Amino acid sequence: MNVLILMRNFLTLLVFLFFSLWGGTQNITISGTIKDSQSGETLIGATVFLNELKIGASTNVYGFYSLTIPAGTYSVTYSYVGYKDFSSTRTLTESVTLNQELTSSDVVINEFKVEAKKGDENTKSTQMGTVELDVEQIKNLPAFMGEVDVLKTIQLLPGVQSSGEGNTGFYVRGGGPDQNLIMLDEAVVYNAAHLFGFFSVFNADAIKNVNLIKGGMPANYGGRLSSVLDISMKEGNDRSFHGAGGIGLIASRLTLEGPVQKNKSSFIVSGRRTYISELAQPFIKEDAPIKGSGYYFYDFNAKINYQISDKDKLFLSGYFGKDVFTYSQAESGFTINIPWGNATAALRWNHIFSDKLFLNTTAIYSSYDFTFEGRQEDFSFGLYSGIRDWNLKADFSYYPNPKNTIKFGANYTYHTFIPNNVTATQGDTEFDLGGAVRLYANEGAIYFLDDIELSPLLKINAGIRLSSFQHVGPFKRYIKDNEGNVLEEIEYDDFQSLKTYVRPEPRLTGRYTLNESSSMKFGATLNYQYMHLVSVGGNSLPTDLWIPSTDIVKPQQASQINLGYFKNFKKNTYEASVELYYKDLRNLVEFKDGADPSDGVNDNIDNQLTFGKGYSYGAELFVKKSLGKLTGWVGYTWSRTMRQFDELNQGREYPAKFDRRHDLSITASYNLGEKWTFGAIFVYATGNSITLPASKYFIEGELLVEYADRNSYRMAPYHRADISATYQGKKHKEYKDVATGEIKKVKKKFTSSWNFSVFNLYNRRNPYFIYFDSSGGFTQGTLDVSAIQVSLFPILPSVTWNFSF
Amino acid sequence: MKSIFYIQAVFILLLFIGSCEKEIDVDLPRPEEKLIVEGVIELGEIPYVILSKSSGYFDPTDIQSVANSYVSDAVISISDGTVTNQMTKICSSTLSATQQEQLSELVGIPVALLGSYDICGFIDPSMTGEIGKSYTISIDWKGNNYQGTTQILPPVALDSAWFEVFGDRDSLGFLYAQMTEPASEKNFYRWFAQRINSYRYGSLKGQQKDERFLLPTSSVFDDEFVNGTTFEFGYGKPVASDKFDDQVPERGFYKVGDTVVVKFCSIDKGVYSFISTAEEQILSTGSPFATPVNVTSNMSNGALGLWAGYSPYFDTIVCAR
Repeated sequence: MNVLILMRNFLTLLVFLFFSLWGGTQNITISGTIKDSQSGETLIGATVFLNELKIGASTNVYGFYSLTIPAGTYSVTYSYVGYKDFSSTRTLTESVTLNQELTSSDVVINEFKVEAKKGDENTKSTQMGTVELDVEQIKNLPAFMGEVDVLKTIQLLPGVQSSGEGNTGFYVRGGGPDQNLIMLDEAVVYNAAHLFGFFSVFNADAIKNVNLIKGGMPANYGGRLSSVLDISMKEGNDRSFHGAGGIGLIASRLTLEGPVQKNKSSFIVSGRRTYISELAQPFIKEDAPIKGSGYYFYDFNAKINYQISDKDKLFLSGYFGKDVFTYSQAESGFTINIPWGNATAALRWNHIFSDKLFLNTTAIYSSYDFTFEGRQEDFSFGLYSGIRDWNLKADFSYYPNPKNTIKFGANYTYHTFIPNNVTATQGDTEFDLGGAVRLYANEGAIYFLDDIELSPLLKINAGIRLSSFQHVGPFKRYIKDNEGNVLEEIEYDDFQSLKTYVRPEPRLTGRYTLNESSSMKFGATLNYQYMHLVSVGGNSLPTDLWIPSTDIVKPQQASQINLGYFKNFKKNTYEASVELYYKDLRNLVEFKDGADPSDGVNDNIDNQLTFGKGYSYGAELFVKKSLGKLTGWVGYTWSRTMRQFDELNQGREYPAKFDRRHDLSITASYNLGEKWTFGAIFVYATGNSITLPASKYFIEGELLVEYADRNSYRMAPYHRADISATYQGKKHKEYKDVATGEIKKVKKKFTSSWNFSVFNLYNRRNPYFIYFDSSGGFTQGTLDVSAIQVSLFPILPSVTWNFSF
Repeated sequence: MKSIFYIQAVFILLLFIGSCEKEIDVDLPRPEEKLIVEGVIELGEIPYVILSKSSGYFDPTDIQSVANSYVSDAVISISDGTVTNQMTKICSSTLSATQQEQLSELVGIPVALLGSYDICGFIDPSMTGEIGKSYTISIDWKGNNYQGTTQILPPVALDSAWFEVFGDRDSLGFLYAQMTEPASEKNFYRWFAQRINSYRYGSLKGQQKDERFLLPTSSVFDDEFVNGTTFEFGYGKPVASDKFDDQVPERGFYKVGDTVVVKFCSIDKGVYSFISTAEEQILSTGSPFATPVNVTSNMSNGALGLWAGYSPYFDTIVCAR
């Protein structure tokens, strides 16, 4: 039990650090929560600033801040983007809780226009490779079929590559789609996209904040190599009952929120369902190949919170979503039913131990399931795969003084992996297809980090994460020779350890201030990942499998170094940055050529895997304007991503499928008065690399092909422009004040807006894949081979009606 | 049990709803020319080998280039472990019209091609396949040597084989067989079938239904799921032509009145690997989700193709209700 000893030593060290370094300060601490005055939603990243000391703090993901200062009289300013500042002068002689509510500039209508301000977090924080997105801002950009999608929007950021139309997942700095830690209210979401990635599982109406970390991952995050996408759900209005929703061409959504107990407890529920299949059904011809097929998905989010006391708050949140594809052919009695989806539940407890110490404890359940059921007459075939997690974690934030922010905590997960479970029955006969295969694992981590200001110019975030992973029984290991014959079978009992990995993960990022508006940042991180997503085909599909590290599958490893230059212009109106990175990847996982993961008889799935390495390097440019009528950003990435597997491509290095030399995104939204907002997006990306046949030959009269080097062919570049226009109905109504005769405005109870968008404005036929069509016979001399490029979406206009009350 | 591929096929179907296609020019680098081996040795039969060259995927395929793709300037020796012979080259120009027809039936090269171009193969009339022996061919071509070995295993008999009408059809059905699988070793099998009765009506009247043994889409299996058990399995009619009975609704079905010879062969692992990967490649052609996988050859030194030993068990089924 080396792990336990290590953990205990580590915790002793932590306790020692607290009491020795910051035990005897004479200062006072102000702390509290910053909220929206209308809804009671906590504000993430709102700032409190003491003008006299020129120091400040910002709120964490729960809206909590803490600032330790010498006693005195100060002018305290609270601010948040898009909200009216609040300033007051206070004499502070002892530690005190200062909760503050801020009012959105949207609401402040009878007063002078709020002068929006933007913080300089961009150049001042130690964090690099991080982007925070405000969901309201995303809503002004064109959305595919009118469905606002946070996953689509982050793919417009430099360093984040979309996998193109018809693919699930996104790629961060050369990492695979399984290397992104996607969390919804701290619960891991294993499959974040609905079918083919056209829509993400996150319903934008229920989301408050999206934070993406693509490099320099701090020590409080782990378990994935490439990025963290931390999504926070709204908490629900604790003042009054409200609703919002939308009716679109393919889906409708509805969100309801309100107080359970005013100012103490609130709820939010949000649902979405598509109906494109039902709408399209009457238009499908009787003889069309898709006749008889149906598809829909739905999402359901719910959250409730309760303020037990000033120091304790409970949150219970959940997500449940399913995609369902059905097919039935009346004539032959053949039916298919394929449901798949995620379910998550998180219970969180925020506790404020003192004005300096904040604790969040979370218990999480997360699962992803894929089921396939086929039936014809009395023959039925089923395939089931999935993953299930039980997760408990505790995260402390400690604010000893303005120069240090300390975070430490522990995380434990019990994983159940179900790589593939195939069943087949005919009448009463059940075929032996290997039975249910399950793999079990314990994953644990402890971490400590300090965001520390070493001098006014130099600030660093140094941390260490100690992670461990243990594959446990029950398990049956088949040991095979090169010919695939079983040499030995070993049975392991329940909870018997098969293999344990313990890995230290040092993390360091830092900022060096060059002048008032610019800084240099640097980072060096080492990450390990103990679970792996393997896909059978060239593209990602819901059939991709999650598998754990075992004695055969080593943990994936990434070391990354990055360097960045950050500069803000015109009083932070423009933010600009250049980041360079180099990332080295080890123990990457792929299926061997010709592997069949549904074959569970006398075999382990990891016997069919092969392991390799990779690297990626690149430069990312980013210019963003967040204030004014015109907002938006330009992101450009130049990068190179390679892979090398001894057993693939004859051991030669090859470009990763998503290796992109150039990747450009431009977004803009323009606010034309109160009624109209226009949005536009342009993207350009080097084409995906694919493997094509190089030569042909014939055996037994059949055409066979010999492929060229893996991923040696580039498809045509991907580019596309989308535009949108949003018409906002009146938000206010006017009335005459009886007492003064003045014309005044009040906010309307019910408001609505129309969103018109056009996807793929100039009808670019972007390549989705290339296939080959052959006709005629070789020996007759009439064989004709042609390459056909398939594109998915032509120009697609859409209209959505959104409302709120 | 490549179930994943079928599930993927369902998703592809869904994708095509909104898609559009166009023909494009693909600019691929010139591939290196490889030697293709197609050789067979069967229990009690003399071995033959036909050699050809691979061509660029988009290279022209007129009759002239097809004829040019056959290789005749090689030297092949065959060994059964004790005896080594040089195989005899026979060329179509030296054969009579009847012999050309026989050759065409055996190897599938059209008679027209054999008649108008000089296409050569290699045989060893002094050797026939014997149970338990390994046969190695060694090919010298353009300064390189290529080798391959295959085995003639003991044939495995079917317990019985029969025809059964499918569902509520009145005369259409499939062939079924029961076998008792030997438990001792790892076995691999391949199924061939040939209808030897003649058409009794229509434009093909009087002609034998199948000219040679035909293969179903998935013709091989191993004993992984069934080792040592007695079990039943079935096959439909291979679709190999555009004759009227290869069209819906008779497509894939045998018919009451057919007489079918089943050739059920024991094969070795190398032959199984080649055929299963080749059949998988044919099945997944055009699928964007399939991993491009090359066919596993049992020849050395970069040659492609197959040197196959077959050990057949024959059974004749008369299809009756």
